[in-house]
Parts: sequence; C-alpha cells; structure tokens
Amino acid sequence: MRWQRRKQREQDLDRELLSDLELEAEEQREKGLSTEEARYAARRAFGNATYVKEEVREMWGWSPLDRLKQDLICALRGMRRSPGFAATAVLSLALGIGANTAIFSLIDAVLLRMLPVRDPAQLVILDCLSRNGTRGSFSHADYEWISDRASMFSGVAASASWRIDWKTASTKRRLNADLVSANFFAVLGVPSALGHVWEPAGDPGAVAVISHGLWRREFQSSPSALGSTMMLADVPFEIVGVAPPEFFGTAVGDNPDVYIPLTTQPLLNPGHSILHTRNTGWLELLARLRPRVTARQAREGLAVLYAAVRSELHIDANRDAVNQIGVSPGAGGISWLRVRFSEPLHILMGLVALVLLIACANVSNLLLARAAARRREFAVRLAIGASRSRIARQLLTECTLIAALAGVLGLAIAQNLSRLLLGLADVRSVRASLNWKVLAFTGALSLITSLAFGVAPSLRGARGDPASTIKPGAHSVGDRAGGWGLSHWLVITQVAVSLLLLTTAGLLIRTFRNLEHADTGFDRDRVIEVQVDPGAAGYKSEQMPDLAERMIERIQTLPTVESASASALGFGWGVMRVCCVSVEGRIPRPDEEKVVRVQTVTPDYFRTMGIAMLRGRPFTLRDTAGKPEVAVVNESMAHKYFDGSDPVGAHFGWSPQESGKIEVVGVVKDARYDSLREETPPMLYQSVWQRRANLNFIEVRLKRPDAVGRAMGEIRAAMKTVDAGVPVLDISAMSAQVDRTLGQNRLLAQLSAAFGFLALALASLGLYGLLSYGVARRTAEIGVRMALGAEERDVKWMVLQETLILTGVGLITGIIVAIGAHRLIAAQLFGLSATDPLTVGGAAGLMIAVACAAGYVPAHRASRIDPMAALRNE
Amino acid sequence: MIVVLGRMSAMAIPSESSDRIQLLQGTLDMLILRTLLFGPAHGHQIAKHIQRTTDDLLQVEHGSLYPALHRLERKGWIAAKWEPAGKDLKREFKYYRLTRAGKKQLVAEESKWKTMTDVIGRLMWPAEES
Repeated sequence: MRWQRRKQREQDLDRELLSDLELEAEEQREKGLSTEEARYAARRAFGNATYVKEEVREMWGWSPLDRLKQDLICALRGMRRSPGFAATAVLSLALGIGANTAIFSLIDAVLLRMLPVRDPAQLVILDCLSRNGTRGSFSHADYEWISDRASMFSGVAASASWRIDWKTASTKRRLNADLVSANFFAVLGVPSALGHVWEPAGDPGAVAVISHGLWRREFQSSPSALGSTMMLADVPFEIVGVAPPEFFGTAVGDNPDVYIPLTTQPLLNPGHSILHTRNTGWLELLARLRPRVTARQAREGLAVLYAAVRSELHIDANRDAVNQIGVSPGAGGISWLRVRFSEPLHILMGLVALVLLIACANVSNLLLARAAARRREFAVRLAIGASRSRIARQLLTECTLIAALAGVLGLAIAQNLSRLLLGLADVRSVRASLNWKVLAFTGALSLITSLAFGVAPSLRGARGDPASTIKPGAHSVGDRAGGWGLSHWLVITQVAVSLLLLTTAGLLIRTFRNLEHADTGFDRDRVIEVQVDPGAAGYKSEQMPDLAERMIERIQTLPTVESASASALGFGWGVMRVCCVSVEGRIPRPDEEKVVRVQTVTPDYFRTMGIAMLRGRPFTLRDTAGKPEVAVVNESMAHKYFDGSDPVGAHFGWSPQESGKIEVVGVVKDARYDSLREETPPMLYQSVWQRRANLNFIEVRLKRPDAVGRAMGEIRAAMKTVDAGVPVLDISAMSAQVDRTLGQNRLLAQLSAAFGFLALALASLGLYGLLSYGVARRTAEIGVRMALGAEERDVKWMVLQETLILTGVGLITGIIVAIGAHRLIAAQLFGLSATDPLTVGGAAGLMIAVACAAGYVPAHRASRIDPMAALRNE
Repeated sequence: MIVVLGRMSAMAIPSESSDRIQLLQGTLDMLILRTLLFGPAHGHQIAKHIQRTTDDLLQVEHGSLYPALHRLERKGWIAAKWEPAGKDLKREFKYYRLTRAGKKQLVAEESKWKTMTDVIGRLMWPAEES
C-alpha cells in the first residue's frame, strides 16, 4: 500500500523532470543547436538528475521501514560479497550465543521454573534446621503441630519421596512414590486431570493418584485405569485419579509416578509406624501463606509456636533436634537438584558469557579490518552525498543482521547442547525446553552482542575524510597506525579473558584430579560393594546378621575373594545420625553438638574395606548380644570427644545417666561416607549383634584388583545360592562408587576445559587476524626496511615482538583479573587454592605458546616479502 | 555577479566561485509563491520566469527547485495537477497553482522580507536613512 504510493510518486517525479528536460532541449534547439547538441546542453543546464531526485526524495522523507529495507538489502549484498567474513562472524557468534542459550535453558529448567500450581508466589518451604544450621526433615509429630497451630498459613502440606516396588502380574519395578498429606492437592491447588484427588478431610485410605506420565506409559491413557488396583510394596492401592500433565511434584527433577496418602506408611512398613512420633524426620513441608502474611512474620510465628510446644511437652530446647524453622520462598518447589546444580550452573553461565565476549571481540576486530578495507567505498559514498549517520546506520544494520543469523543458528546449537549436557550430567528427569523466556534471552543476547561488537566499527567506518582516502596511493609507506588502536586493545582483552577461562578450567580439572586421588580412608581398587535389600525379601532386622553371616561365608569360598563383610551403610548413601553422645567423666562444652554418625558392621568390615586400625582391636565374634557393648570410633570422634587422650578403654553412652554403658575398644582412621570434600564427621562403629540395623551393604575384598570384572558375576551367583529372593540393587567396585559421586566435578572440569579451549582458539584467531592485517598493510614499509638491509630474521622478530607484547599485556591483565575472580569459584575447588601458581603458570605458558604459533605465520609471511615487488606496488 | 538559488552542493558549484551568493533559506519559497501569483505554471516555467525577470541574475537550480515545489505542495500552499499545455493536447505538464493558504503565506513572507530588508538597510547604511 505504502510502497505502491511511493512507486507512483517516483514515476510522477520522473515524468516531471523528463518534461522539464525536454522543454530545456526544445529551447536549446530554438537557439539553433542540433538535436544532439541540444540534448547535451539541456542535460548540462539541468545538472545532476539523480542528485535532484535524491534531494526530492529526502524532502519526502523515508519511512523507517523503507530505510530498514534498503539497509537490509545492502547488508545482504555485502555479506554475499564476502562470504568468508560472514561465515566466520556468524559461526563464532553462533557458538557463543548457543552456549549461553544452552546454559540459560538449563538454569531456566532447574532454577527458575515455577511449580505449576495455583498462585505459586504464596507458597513457602519450611526448613527444619538443626543447631549448626544443617537442614533436615520434619517428623510427623512436628508436621501435626505446625499444621494444627500455625495460623499464618492457610494450609500446610507434607510430602516424602520414596521408592516403592510396584508388582504387576508379570513384572516388578521401582516407582517414585510421593507420600503426601491428605490436604496436599488442596493446598497446592492442583486439580485432577481424570477422576479425583483426595479431599483434605478424613482418611482417604489406601488410594493412589498416578502421574500423567505413568498413566500414559503404563495404562495407555485409558480411563479404565481408574478404579483398578496397584500392588505397591504388597499393599493394594486403588487408583482414584490422574494428576495433570504439567504437575511434576514439589521438586524439580523428582517426577513422582504415584501419589499415595501419608497415612498408608504403616501399611508399607508393617510394624514400623513413623506416624505421630518425633523419632524420625522424613517429611518436607510446603505451606501456603495467608494473604498479607510475610515470610518473616511466618518465621517469627513458628518460633513462638515451637517455644509453646516445647514448654508443654517439657522438651529441652538445647537438645531438640529441631532448633529453628526456616521459611523460604517456595514458588519453585523443593529441589535437591537446585541445591546441587545451582553453583555449577552459575559458574558455567559465567564461563560461556566470557566465551561470548571473546567471540564479540573477534567479530568486532574482523569488522574493523573490513571497515578499513572498505574505507574507499565509504569515502565515495560520503563524497556523493551520503550522510555519516546513514553510513553508520547501515553498518549497524549489517551487524544486527549478523547477530540475528547467529542467534537463529545459536538456538539450534543450544537445543542440541542442552540435551547433550543433561545426558552427560545424567539428569534424565529435567527437560530443557524452548519457551518464551529462553527465546527472549537469546533475542536480547543477540541484540546486545550486535551492539557490543558493532558500535565501534560502525563509527569508525563513518569517520574519515573522503578526499584524502580517495586519492590514489594513500596510506602506504609510513602509514603506521601510530601506537595501539582499538583492535589491539580488543586482542589484549581476548588474551586476558582467555587466560581467565584457561585458569578456571585448570583449577577445576586439578580439583577433579585431587578429588579422584583424595584419601577416602578405604581401599577403593580391590573392594566391591553390593547393595542388597533383604527387607524386600521379608527379612526383619533381627534376622539380618544371620543372613549376612551366611552370605559372607558363601562369598568367602570364592577363589578371588580375600574377605567379606556386611554393613548398614555404604559410600555415598548418607549415614545415620544418633544423638546424644555422653562420655563418662567428661563435661561437654555448652554449645557442643552431640550428634555422631553410627555405622553397624560385621567383624571383618575394617579389614575388608582396608580402613586402618590405629589403636585397640576390631570387633570379634565374641562381641555378641548379651556381652558388654563395645564400639570402635574414628579419629575425628576420638579427637572431638576424648580430647586427644587414648579413647581405648573409655566409656560413653547415649545420655548422661548411662555414660558407662559402651566401651571403646578401638580407633580407626577416618573413612569418608558422604562426600570427598567435607571433613569427616565424628563417627562410631558398632557390631551387628549389638546394634540392630538393616544390613543393606555387603563389601567384598579381592585378592587382586584386576579381578573386579569377573568377581562381580561370581558374587552375584554366590548370593543367589544363599537366598535368590534377596534383590541385588547394585554391584560395583568402590572406585566406581567414588567416581559416581565425582560425576558433577568431572562434568564441570570437562566443560570448563572445552570452553577454555574454545576461548583459546578464538583468541588466537583474533591475534592471527590482527597481525596478518598489520603485515599486509605494512608490506611497503617492510619492503623498504628490507631494501635498506633488514634481514629476514629482523623482520620476523619485529612481528613476533608485537605478538609477545600484546600477549604479555593481556596475560598480566588476565592474571590480575583471575586472582580476583577465582574467589567466586573457591567453594568448588578442592586441594588447591584459587590462586594456585602452577595452574596460573601453566595457563599463561599455554597462552604464550599458542600466541607464538598464531604470530609465527604472519611473521614468516612478512619475512618473505620481496622488497622489489613491495616497492613496485607504490 | 550571479545569484544561485540553492544549497551548496559538491556537484553543482565549484567551491572557488566566490561571486555566487547563497540566499537565505525560505527565500526561494517566497519567489515561487510570488511567481505562481500570475497563474498556474510548471517547474520549467517557474525557473525560467525567475531567471528572466531578474535578467538572468538569479538562477534556480533544479536540485533546489523541485524539492521546494514538493515541500510547498506538502504544506498545502500550492497544488499540483497534470494538464495538457495549451497548444499541444498530447503533452502534459505538471502545473502548480497557488492555493488560498499559499496566498496567505505569500503575504506573510512578503511582510517578513520587507521588515528584514528594512532592518538590515538601517544597519548597513545608517547615514542614508537620516
């Protein structure tokens, strides 16, 4: 429409000017000139018709859209003319934008996603905090008090994530089951997709709401699933509803398959109810704030409520496991995934942002060089009447076009990259999907990058004096850029940022190495850990020592096996905390935490695991029920509760009244159970006959470390001969177990190394580009130098010198920045300081080596310049 | 001395010609309006008229004339129409004609111009005034 009108106006103008020209020619003919001459004379008198048209058009005014269209056409034409430049620029930016988008989409999926419930901003998470601030779970009694009495909440929901066996006619598999309070769905405001969710009032009985995913996968989305029965841990549950498809439970990454009422817990663990007691913490609480109540008010209200409850029940506040209740925003739900990945993701986000910065500097440098090469073109344009702002705008349009293309390509890269990352991190429960937030992020990023790399070259391009540029032979001999220009500083920035990335990668890689070789306190190469579930086969905990004994006996007959043992806890499975240690004849410090971790083991445990006995003796077959209770403590416990004196022979108990009950018979070296990073907590070991526990782990020590593969099959077979009904959940070498806990560190190290090398490659490309361009521009100067007697070596050295100076300045800047910045990742490091000189030195050395390689090619080229040819070009 | 009506432009005017004068902006507008007071005319006629009546001292550049015509048309002071020239019905020219608003504008410009020349005259030749 608009365009149509414009076209008509153009035709109109053409016609008008043509008629004028004709009249002019007629007049000239009347003066007696020939037709031909008259036409030329008319043209001369008329002046520059194009210029006239331009002036008129300028008067009409262009709509912004018309200008944009023109600029875009121009930009596309420019890119087609130099495809190499366009491809390099788009590709390097696309890599940067893609990496950023991928990490952002993970952050979005893991850290920013809101619970798909009614009014998520009103939800808060209640944190059960112990005296030293560690976070635990609430007991059912705690939940009852809070939900009955806390008036600042309109509802408090409880949930616990369990894994429960689901038996069908043909198969048996484990499901993620959330045990939830009766008001769970009502508090969250989640309706059912099919059937109904249970109502807050009354005991719903043994019913289940299944997830939409399970319904689709296992019931083929059939409505007849409702009313059917599921056997969960041998208890029949009636399916009454299906949860909505978008509801992923209360924790990102949890994705429960089935929701069952909390009140069915005693059915799942017959004879072992943890309802209505304070003995066991197992619940996570989510509460909905009443309108106009703040999280702070809720926290204060809960403190008052707990003080009242404690005085009513005569609980000593100093000894209470629940010291304080924290209230934190719950819009995103509860997530261990979030806790685990929050810092690594933020580090990665920082790294990819730096990579993008380097890519921007590269493209900026390319554009600067291109602007210099196009100086003549711009000068001609300026001379025939283009305004400087117009040229700058057109260059900016080119930049925006490059960034937009890079953004689109980056999105495609990000899609694959985020999927790859989730796979590598072994997180299958989270889906990083494209949504408006990710798209907006990519869009904004492309725009910002186009400005970041485009402004300087655009301004540079529009500057310059047309007259002196168009003159032939401009800038040749002696046209040194007199000192450093913007390009030099860009390359220095690249070197500095690359160094920052390389040192980060170095620190993370060395952290991973340190962790890999960290002293776990046990032998990891020749010990196999088997995780079993005798409870599932119907064994009660009092029958387990006997079962373990039979298993161990059978396994020890295998030729590859040196010894075997059983224990309650395995590596990486957390440990049981028991309160409160009271040592005979010792007055505890007032603020002392009296919690220790307790492991229950068979006599051969220390020998099998390779945990060194420092003093005293291990358990023997005589330490059975009825005999005096004995314990072995670890170094940390000896240090903390026995103040450095020899604990062997000392006594302790679980309360001041019975502090003489248990005798310490030995001290072992600290062995790690949770994580390789934390300090080992005080820990004590007791014999399986003296402290009842579920023996879920069997350890096997092999005669030779290289027999691991073969031994695993033999062990599995041997255990089957004892009782085929006991499920073997996992069997792997201790080294593999330790590796598994290091997965995240490995991934972080690998990714940072990948980004570091990407940065290095981009920076060396930038350096190479700058130096080559410099050599090309100084061809004549170098030719003169050589004609005057400079040797190849001198010329080479001249270029290399520039390389080294640029790199050196970049390195010094980079090291200063790195020392400051690495404090940010100090929490992720292990066994080295954030300013580790070896890492910094190594990264600097690598940078210099690569810089020299990048500088050598142009240096060599410079030394090959033929003085005669160079000077002839003048 | 030749007066050229138009902006300085790199192509049209050699920069060394110092005896050419730049007129104040807006002057050309007034001259066009004044020319059209005699009746409708097309671009060529307007330029020629200004040139002829000033004995070729005032030369109107096309690069200034046409933008000015289009500007005046947009402001609504003149209106344009394609019409055949009197004798030859096959040839059409774009004739510009003064509108009512244009007439008013001309009066206003004229009085402004008069005031200005008056003021400048007093400043330049104070003796002659007294």
